[in-house]
Amino acid sequence: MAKPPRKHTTHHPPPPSLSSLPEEIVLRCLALVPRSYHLSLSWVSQNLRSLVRSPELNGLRSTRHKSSLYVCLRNHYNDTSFHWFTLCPTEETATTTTEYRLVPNPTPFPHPKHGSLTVVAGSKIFFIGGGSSEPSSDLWILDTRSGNMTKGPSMSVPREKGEAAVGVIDGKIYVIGGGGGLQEERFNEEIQVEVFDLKSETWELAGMENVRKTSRCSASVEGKVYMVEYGEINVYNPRECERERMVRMVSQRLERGRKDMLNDSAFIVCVVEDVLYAFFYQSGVMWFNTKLNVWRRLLDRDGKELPFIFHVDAMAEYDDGKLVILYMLSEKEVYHTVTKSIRCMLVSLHRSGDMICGTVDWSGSMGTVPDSVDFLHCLAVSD
Amino acid sequence: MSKKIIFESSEGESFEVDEAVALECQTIKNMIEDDCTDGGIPLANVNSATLTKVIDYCKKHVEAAAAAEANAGDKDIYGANKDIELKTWDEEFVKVDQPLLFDLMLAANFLIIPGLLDLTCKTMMRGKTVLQIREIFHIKKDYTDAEEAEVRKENAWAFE
Repeated sequence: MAKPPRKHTTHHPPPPSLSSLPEEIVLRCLALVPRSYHLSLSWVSQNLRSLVRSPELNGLRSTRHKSSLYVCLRNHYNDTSFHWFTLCPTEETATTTTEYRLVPNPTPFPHPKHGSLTVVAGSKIFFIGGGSSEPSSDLWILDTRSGNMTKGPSMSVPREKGEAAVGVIDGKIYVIGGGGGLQEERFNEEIQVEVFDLKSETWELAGMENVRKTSRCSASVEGKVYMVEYGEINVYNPRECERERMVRMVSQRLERGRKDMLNDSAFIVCVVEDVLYAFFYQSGVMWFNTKLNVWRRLLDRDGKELPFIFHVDAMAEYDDGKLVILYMLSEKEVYHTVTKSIRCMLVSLHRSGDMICGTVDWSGSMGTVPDSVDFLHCLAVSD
Repeated sequence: MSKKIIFESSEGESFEVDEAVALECQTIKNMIEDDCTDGGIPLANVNSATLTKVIDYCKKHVEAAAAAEANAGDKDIYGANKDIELKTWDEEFVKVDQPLLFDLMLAANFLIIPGLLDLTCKTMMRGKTVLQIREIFHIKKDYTDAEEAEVRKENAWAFE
């Protein structure tokens, strides 16, 4: 192999090679690369491969990217019955491997009365507007460090969950749509976009946008808010001029080199390392390639599908760059009492160039709950 | 007038900076606290080109912090825009050739400037392909052909 050209000047020694750099610097470089690139990085050299797999790197990463996954379960017969849990690994012993459990929050979190739209910024959870068909302009802020819930300033427009979209970009929360209103106007609305500045804790108006008024799920990726709907994606880019911020795209999927329309519904989305993932009813878990604007199925390293899940209830980032998928599975018991088991699938993501694939690290049951219990929130929060 | 600190690069060139700027470097901060900065601080392992950049970085971040503080009392609707401006400035700042980026990284490590160290470390590997990383770090392939085939198999999914 030809040697790469080196610059020789009188006062400039040749640039250091990886081995001449202090190991702590190389580890620091690696800790700043998204975890999903680790597999492809280990191809560079044996040295790098052993560093990628080293406990030192894991330790460094976990102090830098400390986060917890908060899961809120509610009893849908009783509006005041909420339970917050965190997802925790069990201790690995000589005879058992690591498993995952939902551990009740030591300090119980209070909860606003509606099941509102939620978004996380740092260690705080923001509950925005009202629940489905009960618009509200309220803002409640839960500090997960102290467990204190405070009421923030109100929005100027009352909004409801399921119709409003939300994203966090550059220290600001963008709330789009969700104005409720008459049935016949359901498809389009001119609505004020509102922005909450996390530093000054104030709302500002960010201009009117024409948005679709359908049930939606949303998340922010690459500095834009993505709203995933049946057959289409609306993308809100706050850096554009007013009325040019919203761009509508027809949903397409790319498979075996072919682009097709994607006519499928998604109600669960999440972001892991600035990549948008969604669970589609027919197509399963997909990720969005923002370069080509296409959805791609999340497959394993051999190009095979991940284990089939009929209905995903929640997805989020977990443990610095992994994807956690939560769902409930009905279990019939004697006397027709029905309970559900809460199931979890933890997926490591691998990225290289324009491709992403996943490996299931763990999947299993985390206990059973009565049939009346379901997921309300599933949020990855910085510690 | 604010107190000045004098740095001396590896070439023996002197750089005079405000104390506030020098305080961005944890190593220098310790020296200032120990009161051993009289007659200048020789930096035998930082050359003039690198030192100029390091001082630029510290100046910019001191100014940005001062501006943020001045605005903190007001209803600061442009605060976030300033953060974006600084982020963009940082991105432009590290658009330098590889040897200088290496020197900046090592200088940030030696002088203990956490922001600059993260910025340079991040630029080093993020978003680079395997081949680019091998080139940047002058890494010779140390896998045997059989091992390479194994790693290639592990990464086969990336090539549809």
